[in-house]
Amino acid sequence: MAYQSSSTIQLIMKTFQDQQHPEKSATPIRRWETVIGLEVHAQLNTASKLFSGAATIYGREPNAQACIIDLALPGVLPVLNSAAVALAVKFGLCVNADIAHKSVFARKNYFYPDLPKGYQISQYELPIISNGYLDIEFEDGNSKRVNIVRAHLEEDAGKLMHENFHGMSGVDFNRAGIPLLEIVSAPDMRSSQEASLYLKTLHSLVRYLDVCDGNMQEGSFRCDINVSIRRQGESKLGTRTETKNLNSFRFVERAIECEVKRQIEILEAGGRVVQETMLYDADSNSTRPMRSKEEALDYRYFPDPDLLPLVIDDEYIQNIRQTLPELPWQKCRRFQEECGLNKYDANILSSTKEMAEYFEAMLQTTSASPKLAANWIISELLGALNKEGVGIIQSPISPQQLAKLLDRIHDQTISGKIAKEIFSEMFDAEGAGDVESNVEKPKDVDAIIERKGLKQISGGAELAAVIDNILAANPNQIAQYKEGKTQIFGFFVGKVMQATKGKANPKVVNEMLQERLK
Amino acid sequence: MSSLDLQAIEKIAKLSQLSFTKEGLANYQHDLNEMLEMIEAIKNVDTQNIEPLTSPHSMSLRTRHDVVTEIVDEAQQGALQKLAPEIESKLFLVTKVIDDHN
Amino acid sequence: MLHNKTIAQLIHGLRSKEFSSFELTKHYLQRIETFKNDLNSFITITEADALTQAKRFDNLLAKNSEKIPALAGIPIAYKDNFCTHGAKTTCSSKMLESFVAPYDATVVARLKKAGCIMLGKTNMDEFAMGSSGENSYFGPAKNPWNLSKVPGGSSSGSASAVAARLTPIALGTDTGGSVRQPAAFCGISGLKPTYGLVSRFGIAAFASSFDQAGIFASSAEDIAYILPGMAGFDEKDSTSVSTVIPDYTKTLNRSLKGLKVGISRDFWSEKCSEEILKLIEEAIKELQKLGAVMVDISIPTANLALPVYYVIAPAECSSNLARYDGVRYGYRCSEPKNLADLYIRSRSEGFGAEVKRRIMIGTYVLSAGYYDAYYLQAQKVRRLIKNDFSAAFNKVDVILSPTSPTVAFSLHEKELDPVSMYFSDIYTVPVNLAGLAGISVPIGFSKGLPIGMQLVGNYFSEALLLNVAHQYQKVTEWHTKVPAQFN
Repeated sequence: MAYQSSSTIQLIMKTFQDQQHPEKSATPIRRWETVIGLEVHAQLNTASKLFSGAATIYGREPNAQACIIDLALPGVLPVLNSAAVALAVKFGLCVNADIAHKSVFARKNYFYPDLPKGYQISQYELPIISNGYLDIEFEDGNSKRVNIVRAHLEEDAGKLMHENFHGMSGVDFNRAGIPLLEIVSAPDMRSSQEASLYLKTLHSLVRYLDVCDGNMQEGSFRCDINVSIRRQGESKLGTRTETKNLNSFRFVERAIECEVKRQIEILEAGGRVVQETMLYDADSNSTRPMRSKEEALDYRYFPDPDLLPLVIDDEYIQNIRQTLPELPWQKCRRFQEECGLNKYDANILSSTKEMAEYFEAMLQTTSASPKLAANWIISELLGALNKEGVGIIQSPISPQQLAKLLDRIHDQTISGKIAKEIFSEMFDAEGAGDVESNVEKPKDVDAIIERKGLKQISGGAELAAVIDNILAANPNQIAQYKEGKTQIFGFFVGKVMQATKGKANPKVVNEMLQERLK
Repeated sequence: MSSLDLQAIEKIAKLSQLSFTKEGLANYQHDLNEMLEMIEAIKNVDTQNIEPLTSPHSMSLRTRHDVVTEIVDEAQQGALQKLAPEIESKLFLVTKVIDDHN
Repeated sequence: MLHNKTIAQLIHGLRSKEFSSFELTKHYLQRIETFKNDLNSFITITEADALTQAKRFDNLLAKNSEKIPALAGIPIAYKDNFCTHGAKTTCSSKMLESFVAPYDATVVARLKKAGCIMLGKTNMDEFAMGSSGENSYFGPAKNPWNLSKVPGGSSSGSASAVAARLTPIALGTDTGGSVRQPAAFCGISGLKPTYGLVSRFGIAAFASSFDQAGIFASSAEDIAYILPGMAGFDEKDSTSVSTVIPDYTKTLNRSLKGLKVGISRDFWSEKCSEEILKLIEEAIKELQKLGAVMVDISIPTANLALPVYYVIAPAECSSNLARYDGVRYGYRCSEPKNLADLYIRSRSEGFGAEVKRRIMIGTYVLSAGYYDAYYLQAQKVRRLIKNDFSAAFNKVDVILSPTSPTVAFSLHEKELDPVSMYFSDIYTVPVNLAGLAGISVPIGFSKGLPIGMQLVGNYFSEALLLNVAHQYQKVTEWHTKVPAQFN
């Protein structure tokens, strides 16, 4: 989880940078156009499985949550989980899709040790969600619409363990039956960056909606990529390959790039791309054809006779619509309009649910401006977190603590410079984030200010003595200043700060100096 | 009238994960073709604008609440694993899978 | 004698302490043991458990406890495709030869709760595919009326056991006639309830959109006592229908005056043997005497039922039986060379010939390029058949026909010609296609072999079917006949 969030932030920043220099990441051979479609498997956030009452907890001991239904014992039958339906509809509404009033579960028949029934229950001809879209927005403000052809409910398979059990493989069916939403995009993307941006936007959306926890490490959000290339200007699609089960944004980008390169090399050499399933090998950063399970797969889809058509009425849809939270792009717009943030900042702060929650929690308690809060999150907090390689939900400084720090800047108790010192101390301090329960209050701003005597000096009398001493000791500089060399003003400010160890209120110092140097 | 040749029978057997001796294959070819001949009668029925019927009742699907009802405790897991041809480290063992499906 | 008593008499006898549950159970277990080799109707006998339970009921009965369930002490046998916790469930297949389910099928659990005592598991055609009982890994069950004849199938052992009075009640499953046809062959009563009335959970599936558990008993009245104990909504089965289960015994004695009985002589006459048609006409006369009115009807698509059935049922079967792969339970071939070998040999060695035939044809009709012409077309014709029945039930209350076009045939007679055996179900299959209720009751004999009449009712018309059958049985004695050797 921690790794997840931080890598998300890094990748988002990287994408913004890439977008600013598109020529650097463009396909080297310009006569080919890349066409990419993505199929994302998002694990739905449910307590129990799609068709059985077994739990869906990740990381349990093998087969400890594979019940008789998941193991496909004789006579067992599926009963659909209502929460999975609700989550699918929720997602569909947020991508402006059609919600099918009638959708049908079908059996996809094939043999594999991780597939207990010898078929997967999926949706084929009548999926629950169709004809939606997702707008992805580049840093330069341009946006692109990626169509979502369909999204359907299906059950996950078990997991094969390839460790060698005296020449055997092992199967863990804990994952078998876990609900997935397979989200299929149109082949609308034209570069690995576009694909990656779509994926990140989608990832952010499903996490905002609590449809999926988005944990790619645990396989909760996986992606198959369909890649083909065609000559620039050509309207007919080229032969595509499918690369399966990529579980990081970086792998998706790299796999696309490898596959594009491979296809270009084939076509440039006069060859033909074969429609096949590829495997991305992260170690060698290359794609190669998978040893196929069966040469021509014939899944023999047919409506599952154990399940009747799923009927959803308008009232149901309306009820779900009422529960929808604010979406990332809505938040981004609000951050700009209401908080006066620029687009770059608003984008970062709305990029993940946790980030937005952090920002909004700060706004609730601080009297400092949203702009200041945004600056501190983006430049100080994220910088420090990235250095540590952790995500914002594992931030050692809570939004309330950071808010208090900004309040002290705002009420002129401390200067911005001192605030950065305090921030570092808070960030590094061991101890609970809970201010009240900690006797030493290592993360309490006021306690630190108190302990270290960092309180800003704004009092006229105290400062007047310091300033007068400095002026008295530097008559030459006063002369230069009065001759019109006004840039020397900074010299006096510096001297005052030095003398007060940075605690002097710069605003007051400025005023008093100006008064005296008149 | 469609009739299945041996090649077609072999293909179906493969999809079904079944295999037959040469003689067995010929017998199946005979039987399956006889079945197909019997089935042939449906081909001439006018079914234009007829909705296929997948289940006798025209009900819609009932759903269940998202509640964990199937607890696989140690006893249950033991009972289930006792059914398996081969188990190790709580995993169901199969002949080595040389494939990169997962 | 204990084994000639009706369920009502057994319930009364137990409560009035005329005999104990232990005595009753022991009596049937002894009969099962005595005739085991003649009939081969049981695969597993659960003697110890049965006697333990019987003693428990005797204790309850001694205390005249309020908590005595309705069917306390009634012996029952289950076809071996009903999962029974702790007792083997083989489906008469090498594939599940030693499979012991760690759960009960919903109907088994319900009947256990209702007080029924399981005597054992009965022989059947492998995975319920067959019409003779010969497709069993454990050898065929025999027809008690003539041991060289088949008892019918696929619920062969259940029919054979009830006919020989080795159990008063046995359950079977009926996918295309597998309760009614063996009931007819064995001279007993057999009910196939409306699709969705009885839970399918825990019954090894053959064809999911047809399968329905049914009851064998010597009379319709006995069936009426058992049905409420097993029927009704089950949240574990998505095709289970939520409907009120009436007390079927309460309506058994309604008059048949004015009952409209549909008959379709055109449809029967072609394939049906003369002797059967003759007895059907006699049964019609009996019903007329009871006040029923015969109405000519036509189910124009009825002759398409068999072809439709042999597309859809195998299609569903090919998928339902894909789970038997030797990975998680069941038969695994010895020393598989690789994964493909493990799958192919486990399945090829574990399944018998008829199962493989149906898997093959089912795979074919679903495969790319053939789906529309076979599977989809069959589903459309299936709707036409359902529509025809709906139209007919606008005119009549029940539909009468022979149960099967022939009497029980000889063992091995049709073994080499599987397709000709399929015609044995020609009158029963349409009922499953439409999901209707049907019952077979004995109406006489031809050369010592029983003949059955099928009554088909609209959805959830079990009360009416049992009422009609019971009224017929009140004025006839065919259902009381027991093969001499087994009386």
